[in-house]
Amino acid sequence: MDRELVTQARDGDHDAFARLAAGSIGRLNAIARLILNDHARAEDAVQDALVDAWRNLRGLRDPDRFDAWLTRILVRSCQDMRRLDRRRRLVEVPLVDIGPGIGDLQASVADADQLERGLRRLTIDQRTVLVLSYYLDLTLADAAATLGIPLGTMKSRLSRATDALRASVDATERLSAYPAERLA
Amino acid sequence: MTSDRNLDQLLRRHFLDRADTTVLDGQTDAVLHETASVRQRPGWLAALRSPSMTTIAMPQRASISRSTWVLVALGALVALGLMAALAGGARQPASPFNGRIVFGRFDEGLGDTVVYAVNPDGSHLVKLRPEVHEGPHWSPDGKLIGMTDAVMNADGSGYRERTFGQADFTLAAWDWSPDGKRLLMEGFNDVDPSRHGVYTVRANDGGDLVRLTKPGDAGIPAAYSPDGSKVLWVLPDPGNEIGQLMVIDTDGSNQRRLGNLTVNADPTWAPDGRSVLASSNGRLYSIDVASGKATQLRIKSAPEALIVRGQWSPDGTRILVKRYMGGQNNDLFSMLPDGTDLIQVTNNLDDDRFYDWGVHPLE
Repeated sequence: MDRELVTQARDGDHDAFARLAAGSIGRLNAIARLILNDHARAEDAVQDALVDAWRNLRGLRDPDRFDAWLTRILVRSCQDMRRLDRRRRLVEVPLVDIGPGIGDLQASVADADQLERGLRRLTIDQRTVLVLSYYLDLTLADAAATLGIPLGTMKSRLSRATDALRASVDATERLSAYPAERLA
Repeated sequence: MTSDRNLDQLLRRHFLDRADTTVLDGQTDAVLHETASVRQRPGWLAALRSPSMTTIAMPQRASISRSTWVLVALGALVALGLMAALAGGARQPASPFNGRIVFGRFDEGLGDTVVYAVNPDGSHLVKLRPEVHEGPHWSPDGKLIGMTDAVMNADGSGYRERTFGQADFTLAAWDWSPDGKRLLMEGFNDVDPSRHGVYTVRANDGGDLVRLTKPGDAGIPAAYSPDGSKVLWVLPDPGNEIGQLMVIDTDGSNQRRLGNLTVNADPTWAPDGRSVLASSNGRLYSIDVASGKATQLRIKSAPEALIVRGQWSPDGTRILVKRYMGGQNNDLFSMLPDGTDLIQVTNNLDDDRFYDWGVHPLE
């Protein structure tokens, strides 16, 4: 991230913002797709986040915090997607079918599949805390700041999310171990 | 799997494998096209919407330079003059009114609403909590403020979370029953939409979950009736944020639609329980509960102003309205029921929403 570029964009230079956006959009896409589990909604969330960022860039006091600030806006944008869905009473959006991971050398495909199914069963809030903690590797304090919640709340949310994921994965495991003829 | 391996490590690897940083053709161009059409606010407007400007009664002077104060003061004079002209006579009140208003103001930095309280004459604006919350609402005795996920004292102290849902089922609180014993909740589940609906729970421990709406009726709760016998809610149209105005008894019986307007999702009761305020397409209506007849209410000095919510004062003498001011900006105004005596309660470039006028004494 180029500090000078952020400063220029903050002063209203749209070309500078364009370069910042181009440099950030891939990272933002990855975060939004992991949180929302839906590519179309993720693209909407990223676009909303970048538009909000441009609109509010004057409020960014420390240019060095641009990436963290932008991530916070994106996470809020993802949560707004959930709220819009709730308010608009949309039916559940089909989940993206993701193939096995190419870098998953140690965990088996079956394990990765169980984990993926478990993640899909979580709420957006639960996936968000997991993505912040295990994909972005934020500390609990930084994740709490990103979500705008107290540290204690972040700890409890993370604990509940991992418990829910563990329960969901275990349930999938039990179901897969169940004799196929009994499910017919 | 989870008992044999470290879930943390598996998650880290899983996310790294699944992270898709692909940028679609045209995605960046679409963003830049959109941002190019959205101008940043000029610096003097940014100064006007600073916390110090929005808390005239309680300025935080320590971090504000003298030159900024001069700029802010000049900006305030200009803004007040403009607002008076635009509002057609909005003014500060001659005398204080009862109660206190709690509301959520959209914070652009945080990306969601932060809870504030203000007197009905616009004085003593206080930011109650630093983090984001939705749906602030007063307890019947005016001593507590509830949010969808937490509760606190009227001054913001004594904050504590209010998490009643289970891991896969979220409950969000929207109102207290008039006797303070129960909470009106919206329940939803991201995986199973059929569980979305209107519920009530015991206020002190979240027990005794009662579902009022039928499975499939993904209702949005609004408020208990003043006598506590009924609940107002909205049945949203698929794909919309608006829907049918509904009322149901607190035992889940006697569900019926009020009137035939398509309304916004946050209607309110009149203190006598005989009518309801609801907005539809930017117009505010008083809807008679018995007949369903709707009567439009207007701001007399600005009859074409867009009003997106209305609520009676606790004593039934005034109506607090959320008025659309352009862009993302909504401000709160109060007026007499005939639309006269308009008073601007909040004046900010952000979206002021989720408000509730409670009986807490004036500060």
